[in-house]
Amino acid sequence: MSGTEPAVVVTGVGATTPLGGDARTTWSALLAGDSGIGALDVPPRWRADQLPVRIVAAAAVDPSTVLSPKDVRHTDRATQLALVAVAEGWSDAGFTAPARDGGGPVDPLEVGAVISSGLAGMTSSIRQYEILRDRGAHGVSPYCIPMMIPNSPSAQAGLLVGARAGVHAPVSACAAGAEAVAYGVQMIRSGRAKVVVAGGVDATIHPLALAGFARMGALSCRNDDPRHASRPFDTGRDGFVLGEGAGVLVLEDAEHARGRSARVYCELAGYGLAADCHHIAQPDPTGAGVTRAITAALRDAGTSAAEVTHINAHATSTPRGDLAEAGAIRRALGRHADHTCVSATKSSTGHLIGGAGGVEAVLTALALHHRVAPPTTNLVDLDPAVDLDVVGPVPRALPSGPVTALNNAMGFGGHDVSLLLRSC
Amino acid sequence: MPFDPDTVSQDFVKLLSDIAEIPEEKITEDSALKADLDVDSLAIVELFDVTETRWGVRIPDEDAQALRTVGEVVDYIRRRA
Repeated sequence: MSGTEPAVVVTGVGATTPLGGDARTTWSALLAGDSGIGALDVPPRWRADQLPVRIVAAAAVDPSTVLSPKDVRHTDRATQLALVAVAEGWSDAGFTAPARDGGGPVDPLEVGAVISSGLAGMTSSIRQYEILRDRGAHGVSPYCIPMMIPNSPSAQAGLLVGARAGVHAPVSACAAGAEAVAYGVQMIRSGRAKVVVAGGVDATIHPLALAGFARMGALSCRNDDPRHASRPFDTGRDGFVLGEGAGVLVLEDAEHARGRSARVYCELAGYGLAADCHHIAQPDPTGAGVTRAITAALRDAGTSAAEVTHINAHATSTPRGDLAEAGAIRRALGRHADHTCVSATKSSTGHLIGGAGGVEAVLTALALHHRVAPPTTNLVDLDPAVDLDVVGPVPRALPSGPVTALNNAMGFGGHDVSLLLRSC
Repeated sequence: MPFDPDTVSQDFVKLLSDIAEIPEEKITEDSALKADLDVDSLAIVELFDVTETRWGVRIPDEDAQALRTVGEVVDYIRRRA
């Protein structure tokens, strides 16, 4: 960032995940070593017994039990999860009502929403196609298209908080939530917005997604041991566990936050974006893109590798992806990586696809706020090729004083994002 | 459900209230769906879909466009159910 651009702080967090229906419950469960992963529980028509993978990380709280029947009828499950997280984040930031003209808590022309996903609308698309096939065009919901569009979570979030500065949804698979946060920072720095709700969501637990990811060899096949299936950086890792959920940050111009005496979790001090240009699905084994994303985030925040104390890694538990990221971190931080504790929280949450970047940004903000690096629950035997200080099953205290953390995200397509958060 | 002409109005108001999230007490037979109750076009399609299923009344698009008020829809159902 340039010296003239406003600093960006995090004034609210919201999440609904396999560990809990809100950010606080998720954080507590994570520190307690709970697992959000279990057996697939679906209707018989899904013929789950024929799937090679039958373990998932379903949202702990079904969003349809929280929202109004109208919201549930008119939205895809991903949008529902996003609405729950956004409502929590907005309220957590101290806003008691949506932005509105004349008298609201904030001018709607200064509010933005950037909620990204990898596959939002997927299950609605499939369901509406089934209706078309079985009952004809007349049975298709008039909300079919609004439910299917991948910008729907962001658009509905914008409607919820009253965002008129801009509503966006950069789509970059599993890096989407983190890219949304970067985009939100850009909106504030450029002066387009004072407050932005930014994060990610996905709800893809469906036989098609399970079959598709399984055919890529991306999923863990530990059907008999779901709790221990997601094991980032461990020698026994064999793939990720498909999960669903949403996580959002409320980003705010630091001056604006000060002006209303808002509680501040941390500064969102920088971001770096890069692309592998290697393969549509496989990570570049050299991790060069991730290294460049981390280096760019450090430069953007005006800091150095020596300052990085904690990293929430993307680490999905795939054999290749974890190694590529571990190497990238080591190359980006050099010897300073010896003093950086790395957490891989997908060990507890599973992989929330587009939701991962959002939820892990929330967890990184909370780690700085509470001064605790969360555990990597299933780390028993660290892969010797991973030359990092990975936090094991027990949380680790972060030092007092200024603390800087990175949050990485990588997505199919070769998208690499690194966010840099700093204690205030 | 069996057709009961005496309760169509009451049942339709309840249905409309559920779909559009409008308190029942704000809905009268004279209420215009769009102009008075601000029911958007997608919600009207949904409302007529459920109406068709519930009372077995097929509402062609040209008829649906002409039905303006709650009372007009209720009369339509009574005549055709």
